[in-house]
Amino acid sequence: MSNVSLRHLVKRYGKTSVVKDVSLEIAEGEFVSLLGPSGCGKTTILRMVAGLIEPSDGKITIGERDITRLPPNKRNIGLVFQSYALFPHMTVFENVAFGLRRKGDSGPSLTARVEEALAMVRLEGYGERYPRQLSGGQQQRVAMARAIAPRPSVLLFDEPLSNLDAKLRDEMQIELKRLQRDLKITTLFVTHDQAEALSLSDRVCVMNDGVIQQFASPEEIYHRPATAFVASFIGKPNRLRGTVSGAAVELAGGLVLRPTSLTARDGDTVDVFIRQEAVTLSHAAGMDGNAIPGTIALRSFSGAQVQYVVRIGASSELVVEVPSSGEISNLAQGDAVFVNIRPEDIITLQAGQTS
Amino acid sequence: MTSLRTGALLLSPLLFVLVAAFVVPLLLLVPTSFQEYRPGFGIAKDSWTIANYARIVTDDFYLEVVLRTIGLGTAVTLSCLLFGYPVAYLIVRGNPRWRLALTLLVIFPLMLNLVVRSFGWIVLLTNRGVVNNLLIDLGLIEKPLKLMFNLTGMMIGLTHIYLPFMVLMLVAALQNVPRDVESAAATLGSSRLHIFRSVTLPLTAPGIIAGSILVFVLTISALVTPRMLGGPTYQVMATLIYDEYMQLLDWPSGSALSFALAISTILIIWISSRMTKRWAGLA
Repeated sequence: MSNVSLRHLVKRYGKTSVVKDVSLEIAEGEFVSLLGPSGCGKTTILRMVAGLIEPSDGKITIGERDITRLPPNKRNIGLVFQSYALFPHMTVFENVAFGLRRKGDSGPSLTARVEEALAMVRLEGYGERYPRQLSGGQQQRVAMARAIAPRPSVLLFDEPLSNLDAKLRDEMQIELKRLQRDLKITTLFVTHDQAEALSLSDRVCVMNDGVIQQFASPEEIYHRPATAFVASFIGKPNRLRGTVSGAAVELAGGLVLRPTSLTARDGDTVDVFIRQEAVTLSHAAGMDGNAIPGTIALRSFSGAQVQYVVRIGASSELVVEVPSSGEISNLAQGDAVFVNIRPEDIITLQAGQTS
Repeated sequence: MTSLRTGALLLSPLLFVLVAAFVVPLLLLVPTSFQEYRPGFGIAKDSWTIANYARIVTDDFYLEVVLRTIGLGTAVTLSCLLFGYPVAYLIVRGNPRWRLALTLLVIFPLMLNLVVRSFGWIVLLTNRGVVNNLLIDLGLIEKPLKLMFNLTGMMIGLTHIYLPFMVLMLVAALQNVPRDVESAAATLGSSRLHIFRSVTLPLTAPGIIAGSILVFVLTISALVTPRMLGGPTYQVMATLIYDEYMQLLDWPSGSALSFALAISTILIIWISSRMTKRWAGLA
């Protein structure tokens, strides 16, 4: 069994707490991402699991084993660093063999397992090279091979793709997902890139300021954010302020939105989040109740998408993203449009929550 | 990129001084080293000989001095490395609050004149010196230990004097070792000792090489400390060359010794840094 469980984990530096009472259960074979802005404590948690930082309080177990106070070399984990952290004085083969040798492997079985690991990251035949002779993407693949070769019970990734350029990052993402699916190793993945977290993970743990904001499936995180922080952090949301009135939310300037469901009571002030990509524009009013008239204030083309800033009501603006191939992508400044929002895309959260 | 011309221009002041004050005089000594010195007469300008060089490897006295010098250089280098590494490690990896104090402590001896420091060691190491008196008073020894006018004395003195250079080189090298690489070794099952042996030490090889070359070269060319702690009879090559030139006025022999010293130094440095690089996977 190699499920990972963090219980009431705390890390304090002097008087400041960077991780505040974090509890997390990761099932065997599950891929979990820690997602949050820099300084939210996600890397600290990962390093505590790795044994590189000692927790101030709390308990970490892998399977039945309490590893809270174990040194990193006794934990049977694989860690992939943002900086790759390859051994520059060793060949690719020796890098990958390092962990295996520590486990007492040698001879033909060692060679076979190193080659198997290199094949998994599609780097066959690179064994004799030195890290400095490889590109960034190749180096990161060596780092992955090095981490998986000794068959760790848990794999940890510390922003492994952040140092790669955008195109390579997409390729590596797919590779990583394939690798994890084939190996079925319990994985904890730290990132500040939401697209990465959503596409790779079974479950995403959104963090802010040392506290877990929401721990749920990517779909749940995206469609049903639990806190205002999650709602504003995930996707590209417009944030509006409104007051609940019956089954509707009244915005400033007399605009009314009707979401599918409302948890807030009559008269409460709520934050309304509407994602740029969840909104459509049309020349005529749509069928459902949420068609708001507006005028185009700004158009900006970015390849696959066109972004409009639409002025609605007296003082509000909405940013709307539409595919650039559609017919609605050629509006000019000052054009009148209707903004159509499906009721299920309106996220309302009690105002005044931590954001 | 700086162009070749700019580069040459930047180099020229130093290059001029180096050529005029070092390379030319050195080249002028080449013919001298192949000339004959006749006692009571001087340098014979008309005949050429390789006797000055032949004597270094055939004459027992000269050979002993050469081997002693190289042995001293090696021993001082190794002991500087042995004493210096822990200090450098403490400076880089220890409590950051101590860093400045420790660094100053290492550099402080350099602010003191070489003669004063060497004389200090005489006071400590001589037959009736502080160390021997203390050991006798404690009843640990009956007769004073011979700590001066031999290899021991020179080693103690030179190690102390050149330790700062080694430490500073190693500090720079240790600062360049990425902590993530060491952490990676830890997560792959390395104990702290194994991390040090298989990662930290090889990654500081450039500093080890640089520090060792510096200390070795400084040691075998040192004159003041060996003269003071070795006395007039316990010679190393630097003191011998000095005597040949200044006391015996045997310039040909002194020049030959100088070249022999320079060439063997270059050879030793070349071989040892090649070996170190191979061990550290840098070659």
